[in-house]
Amino acid sequence: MSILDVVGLCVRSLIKRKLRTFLTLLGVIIGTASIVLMMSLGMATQAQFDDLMEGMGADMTVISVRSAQWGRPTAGGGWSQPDDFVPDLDDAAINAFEQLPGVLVASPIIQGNVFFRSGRYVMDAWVQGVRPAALAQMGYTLQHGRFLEEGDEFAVVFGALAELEFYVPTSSDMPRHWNMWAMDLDNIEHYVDVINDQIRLSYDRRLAPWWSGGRLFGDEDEDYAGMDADEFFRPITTFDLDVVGVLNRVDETQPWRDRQIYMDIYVLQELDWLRREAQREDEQEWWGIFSPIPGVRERVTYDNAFVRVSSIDHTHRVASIINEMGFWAEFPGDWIDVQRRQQEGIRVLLIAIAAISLLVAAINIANTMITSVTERTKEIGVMKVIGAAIKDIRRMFLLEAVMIGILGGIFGIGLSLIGSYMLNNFDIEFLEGLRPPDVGNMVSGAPDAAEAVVSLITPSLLLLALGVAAGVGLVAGYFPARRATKLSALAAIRSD
Amino acid sequence: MLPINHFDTINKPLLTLLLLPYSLLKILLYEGGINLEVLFDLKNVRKVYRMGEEKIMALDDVSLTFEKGKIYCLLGTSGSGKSTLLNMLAGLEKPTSGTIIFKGQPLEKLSESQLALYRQKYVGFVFQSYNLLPTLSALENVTLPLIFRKIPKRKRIVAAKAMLKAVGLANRAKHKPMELSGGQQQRVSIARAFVNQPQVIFADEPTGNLDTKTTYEMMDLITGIARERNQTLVIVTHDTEISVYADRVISIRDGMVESITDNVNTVTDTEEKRSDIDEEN
Repeated sequence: MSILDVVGLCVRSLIKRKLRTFLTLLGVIIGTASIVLMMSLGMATQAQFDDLMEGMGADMTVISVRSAQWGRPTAGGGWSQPDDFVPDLDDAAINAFEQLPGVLVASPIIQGNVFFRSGRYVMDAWVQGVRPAALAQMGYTLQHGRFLEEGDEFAVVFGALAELEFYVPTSSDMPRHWNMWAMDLDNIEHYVDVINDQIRLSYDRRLAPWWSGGRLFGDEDEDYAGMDADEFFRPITTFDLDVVGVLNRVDETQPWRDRQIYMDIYVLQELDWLRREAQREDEQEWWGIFSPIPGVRERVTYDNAFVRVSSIDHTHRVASIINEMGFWAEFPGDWIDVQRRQQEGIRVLLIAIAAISLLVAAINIANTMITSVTERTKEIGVMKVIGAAIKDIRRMFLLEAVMIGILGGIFGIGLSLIGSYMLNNFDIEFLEGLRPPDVGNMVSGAPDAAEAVVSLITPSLLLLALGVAAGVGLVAGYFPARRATKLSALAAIRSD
Repeated sequence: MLPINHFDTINKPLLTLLLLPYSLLKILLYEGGINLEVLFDLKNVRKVYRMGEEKIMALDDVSLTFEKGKIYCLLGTSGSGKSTLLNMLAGLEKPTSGTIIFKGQPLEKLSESQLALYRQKYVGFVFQSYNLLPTLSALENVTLPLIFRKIPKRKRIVAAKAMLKAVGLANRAKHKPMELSGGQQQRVSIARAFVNQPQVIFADEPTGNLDTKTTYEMMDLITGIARERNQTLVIVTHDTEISVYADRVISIRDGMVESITDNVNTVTDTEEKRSDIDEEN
């Protein structure tokens, strides 16, 4: 028996029982339409949140991790008590983050104060130390050169605007980045060509500018308590700095990121240690104070780490795992995420209710089919006697149920499109709660929530709905069809 | 009035010539006690129904043969076991013991799907209560066995139309069973049984619901087609009047074969029968 013939027979028997078919269809139509509508509300909200995140420029795949030794912020805006045991944010912990599924890269971040000098310009720089592999995953693109590599020594990567922090120490001019917002950032006068000019680096505090208690560059001949500067201070150690890359501008909403300078964390730690060692020696020599020897260098703890996940879907999960590990993890816009999750809860509830109506529709189909089998017992027997195979009988009843499912699905989709249009074009007050928060004036670039649609139906959603409706028919038709095949032909013919 | 065989496009005389050696062999074997013409061979068939604690012997040690191209009548009162026998021949029931051999193949050993194939290919069925599908037109009812056999649409419609024409219902093809009289419905049912070119047609009380006049018409029709096509026809009835149409009457009583009678002068001349009816009226 070919499929086309089965379809023909099914259509006939559906048409024969018009009213019953219609009522069964109605159940599927309502079930499908409500599922599609409820899901469309969710998809609209999701789309709006995505727009919102995009507008905020927040990269939700980056989680920043801190030690929770003073507790964590709570949802109510307060601060929680610290845990009884607070794990150290050390290399072992960060390696553990890196092992979590969905995590691309994890790296500690430290800040180190070093000094750069190039000709008459100096910079009192806070350099970010990260693992070399991590820099490429921090959302930057390169303007020149390359990212950091394993084995780089005194190599740094400059942010697009980091060069602004060079200034002439002897003049009364302030470093330019102090009034950065008043500058035309697209046309900057470059003081130092960071790629080509020679830059020297030093960790030494004495190279700090006068306002931070150090000695200015270029003041070597200044009189210190009647002594020559070179006598007064140990010779200053400087290193040749290699700027291996310059980053592109990131985002105007995050200007601080463009002024960052990145260095291999281990080199920066080494410099930091050298600096402290030099300071200790100074103190010992001049004041006779024996500072305690700095802590065991093998076990370093960090204040800050960042974790990058491969997609936004992992962010929340990874962040909560890290929180459970005893750290304090947060990601940009997690307050939006909290809201999104709350609304998701409501939506899941709505979809569950819609699913119940679809379940009722499925039961309805099954009921109709069982009635149909009972009613047509004799027909089934006759068909078996005149040569219908068991497969044919099964197909006939399964297909009838599937056709109810598909037809109901198609009409249900139509109904849901009408419903969606109405939701979007008429103000319906109780649905206001489903809109995302109006952050239009809080975050520049965020879409105006009032203009966004309430219900969003995509072609894939429609296909899914049709598939679900057909599947419901198939499942609902299975047992009635089996019942039909199990009928004894003889008993069926004799029945009335 | 009798049907044109639409599947049969082979040159008949040529076929006869080609099969001549086979025919001669058959005759020789028959003389030697081996009958190649046997369609069904029943050996010690027994059927026991269980009704609670009680056992009912529907068929008791029946051994019979059915030959190709003959018309049989299973004659018996209700409860004699004749319908049980028919059902077993049609593969609807299995014997409790014994075997039913169809062309060398024991039917009781076939699976459900093999039995479906057997019925598709070899069996036509005429019911007492016609059993047409109410949703389908007369033509579609006739095409149904061909649909199950996956015959292409155009072919099966041609065959079904020819068959309807043969039973005299060419102008009722589009009618639903509800719009037809009992006799017309039975004609459709006969067309449905024959459309498949089966080797054997089972008719279970085919005239039980019909008046006398229609009964004779129907019997003429069904036996006529069967004879024309050299098909085996097995009619189950309690009506001795009908048994005159058969070549061989098998009387069954209490699950046992009571007698087997060969009708020498079977009614083949429809005109003769008609005049009988007229006389009765």
